[in-house]
Amino acid sequence: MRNKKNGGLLLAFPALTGFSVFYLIPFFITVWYSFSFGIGTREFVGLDNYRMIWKNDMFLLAVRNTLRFFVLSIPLILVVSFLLALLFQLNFKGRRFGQLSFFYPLMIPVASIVMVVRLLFSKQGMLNTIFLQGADTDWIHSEWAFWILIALFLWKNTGYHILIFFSGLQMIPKQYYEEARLDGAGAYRCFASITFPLMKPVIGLNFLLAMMNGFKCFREAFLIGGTHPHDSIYLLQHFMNNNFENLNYQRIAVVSVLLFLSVACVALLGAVLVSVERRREG
Amino acid sequence: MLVSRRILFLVAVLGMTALTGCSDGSDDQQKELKVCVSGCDRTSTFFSEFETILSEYKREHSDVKIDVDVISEKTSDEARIKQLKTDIMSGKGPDVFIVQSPGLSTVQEENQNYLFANAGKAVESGVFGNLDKYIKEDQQWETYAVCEEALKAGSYQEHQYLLPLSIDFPLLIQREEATDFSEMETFVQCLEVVENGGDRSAKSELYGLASRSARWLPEDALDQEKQKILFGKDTYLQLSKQLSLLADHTDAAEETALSGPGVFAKSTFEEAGLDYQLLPTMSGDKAAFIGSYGAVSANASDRELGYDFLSCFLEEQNQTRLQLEGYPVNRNALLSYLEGKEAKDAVAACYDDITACVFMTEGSLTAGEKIRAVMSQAISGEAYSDKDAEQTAEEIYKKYEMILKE
Repeated sequence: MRNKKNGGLLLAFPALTGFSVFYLIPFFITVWYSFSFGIGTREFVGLDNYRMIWKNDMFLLAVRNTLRFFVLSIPLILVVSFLLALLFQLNFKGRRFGQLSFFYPLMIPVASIVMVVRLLFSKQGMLNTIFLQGADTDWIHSEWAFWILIALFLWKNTGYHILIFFSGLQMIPKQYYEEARLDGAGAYRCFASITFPLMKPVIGLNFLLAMMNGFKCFREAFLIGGTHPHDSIYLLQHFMNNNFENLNYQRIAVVSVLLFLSVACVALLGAVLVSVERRREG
Repeated sequence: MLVSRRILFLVAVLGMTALTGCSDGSDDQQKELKVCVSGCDRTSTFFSEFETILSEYKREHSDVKIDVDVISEKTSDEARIKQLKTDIMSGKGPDVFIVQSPGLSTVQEENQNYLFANAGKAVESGVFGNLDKYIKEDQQWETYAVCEEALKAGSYQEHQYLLPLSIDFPLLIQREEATDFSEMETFVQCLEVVENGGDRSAKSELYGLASRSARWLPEDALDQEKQKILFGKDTYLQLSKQLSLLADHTDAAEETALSGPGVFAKSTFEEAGLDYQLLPTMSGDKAAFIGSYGAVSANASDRELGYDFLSCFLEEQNQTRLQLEGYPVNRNALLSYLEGKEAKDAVAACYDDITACVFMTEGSLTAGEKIRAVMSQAISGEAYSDKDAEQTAEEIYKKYEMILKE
């Protein structure tokens, strides 16, 4: 029995070593950096770096924007892609084309997409010249930039989430629906009592993936507005990137630690919800 | 028996390996200095002059081994710049930095990368070492005659971190009979005067100064230490409107500027009968930009040696030789280089007139870009509306605000 336990540890050793060297140790170094100041030889400064960052207007703006982006874009992409996945389960004319049209954006490089965005929404863009008869609004450098970013995020990632939802839906045995219909259940009842409960793990997975993709959306925001875009799309990654440019390691470390704590809180909340759900199920 | 032999063999091998790390001790005497030259490439005049100074320094200090790394700040160097930044932050970077300010290299590329996009912010981050002690102990310091304002720009919380090597100011050089700007309080006023007057040459020169880059309009826009933006949007609004008028009425191709500041060249000052005027900034200061500067890393293995190397660039003969961007920061060097009392007196007066000195930031570069866009719009005959001017002013102000708050 003991040998078996040791064997497991031995098997996990390479992975654990990799995790420690590339994640755990750098993480602890980052935590140390967030409590210290200097280059090379560092001086312990307690909570000074944390205090400073809470007084930093750009950090607060970045936090507000990032939260706003996540709160709006993630539920939106989950709902839209789930509904579309349900739609693509039905047999209708043009279904294949519809499916493919959502997957194509995944194959297009971000730089090309951003070029199209500029072509559409810049001051001399197509939206102004063709559709708005010579209006001179610079959409990219206005409050609209945020909504352009949301639209871009949805357009680029919806196909990916549809794919995961679609495969999740395919895994639900058809006989559940047949039996429910025999018992007189309608479409809504089938969805509420069969589809939704069985799709919860897939929704959870998609939520996590959407969050990860949301963080990646910085590329788009950066290519649209550069290092200092319009206030509405100044995200946490802009703050970190610009502080990297200014070699302010302590500030990047503080943001990283705070980001880790926030993600850990969300993960913890998820774990609590799952355990409550399991207990309720019996 | 076999096992003990094997162990003995292993110990012998380990012993031999360990001994190979020992030397006769001669290397221990040699000090090492890693120098990073940023903002130019190895083919530039600046670098060839730098190498001359370097070889002289090496001749005088045979015990110092100097490794030089050059970062051009071009797009192709992006990966190297990122790597170098990571090295600096982890304390493995160079000991000494010699930096040409952003935007001063001859070839500008889109999305250019800078090692230090904002020198003030890098000082705040703790990248550079405090040089107070070495300056105080340096017996040669007084002979360097460094411009006081430039020195002030390189200090933070009353400690010296950066040593300016050259400064750049909008020195208007024109024939004596040309428009007199000495009574003008702001750059916008100068523009108004040429706009209303008939001096085409002055118009063309001011146009030339403004169109080349934001560095000709030195603006103490950011006070990093006091966390303040030192101008209002209205100033830029006025400036962009006035510049669009100037560009509108100037045939730039027809009249070229007589001369303007740039690489410090003797020939600029040789002609007789010239008038030298230091133009005021938008806020009324007689300000200069730091053209290039040096600093010692906070983590340098030998900070004193770093300072010693850096200070040789402030010496009179090296200042004139270096072909730095802008004018030498050493007043004596500037004057000894010039021939003729007339030019000497005039340039010295302009030099003494400097009331503020600033480092170039991304904000200044954005301002320059926007201003050039305003002027090219005016030249191409496109209508320049008040709304355009407001937008330009808003964008410039916003950029400064974001940089400051970050």
